[in-house]
Amino acid sequence: MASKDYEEIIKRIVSKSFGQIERCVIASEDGLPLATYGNPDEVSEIIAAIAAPLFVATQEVMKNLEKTKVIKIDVELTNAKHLVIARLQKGILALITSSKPNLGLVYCLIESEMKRSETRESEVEESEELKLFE
Amino acid sequence: MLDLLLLALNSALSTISVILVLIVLRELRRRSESDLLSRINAIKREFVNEVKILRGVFERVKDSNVNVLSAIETRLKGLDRVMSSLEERLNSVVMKKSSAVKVVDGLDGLDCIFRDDGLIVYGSYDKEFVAYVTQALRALKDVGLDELSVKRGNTTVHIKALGHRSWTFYCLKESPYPVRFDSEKILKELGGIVGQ
Repeated sequence: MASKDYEEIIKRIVSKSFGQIERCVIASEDGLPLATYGNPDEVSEIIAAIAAPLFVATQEVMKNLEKTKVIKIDVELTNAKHLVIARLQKGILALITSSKPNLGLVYCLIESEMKRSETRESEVEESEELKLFE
Repeated sequence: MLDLLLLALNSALSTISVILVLIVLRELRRRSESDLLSRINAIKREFVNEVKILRGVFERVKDSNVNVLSAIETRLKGLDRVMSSLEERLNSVVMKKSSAVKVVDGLDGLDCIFRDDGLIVYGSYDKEFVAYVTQALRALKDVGLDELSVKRGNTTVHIKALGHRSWTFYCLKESPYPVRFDSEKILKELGGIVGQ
């Protein structure tokens, strides 16, 4: 997935959130930001750096303990904001909500992007398989 | 029916005509001219009488059929009247039913209960709808919104705020009829599930 695609995803999530999302990052599994929303960029880099390893580590532990996958991690902060982390195919999505957010809406937006990227990924795989046959 | 009668009448008249011609031909061979004329006149009278009788029979049959048809028509009109009065009664019953308010006084009667952070805490419903309704409720909270009805397809979604604790809860019920929520009873039941 190209950097432009990640930026599109972030744009879609933020524009539909009615101001519920203050900051949004898509990072690689090793914690490098691929696309960001919210200033300054340094903060987004820090979020990417903590969110990606946190998600990957949790995923690994849960795989061994419960033989299952992690869908999303929701960290509740004392200022009534939330840090929500989810996997988006090859990237990790991390976002900071506004104070007392509409979590139902935030979750819906994340889930709809997860479904969209799954569909896109399977389409890409199919087209690659077709190319191989050709 | 009348077509059949006419066909039968025609056939009878043709048969009688043929018989008459045969009789006249036979008499021509057997009798003298004066006898013959009187005999022909007699036969003619007989024939006219026979035709008159036949005509009378057919007219009676026709009249009886007309009577049957008019009786059927009268019966049908009666049935129409019964049908229309029944329809009116049914419509009034439906109107009464549809205007009757459904009272929801427990969790069983609800589709779901959600918090003002958009998360469903009891039951289940379209999550996306709940998320966007929560957003709308947040915007309308400042103007003292207590209840909200949203038309959705053929039904209406009824939502009511359930007082304030650590969270504001909203109960939701989808129904084509007007709904009245008994907040106290619902909150009492809900307390046992989500804690006070």
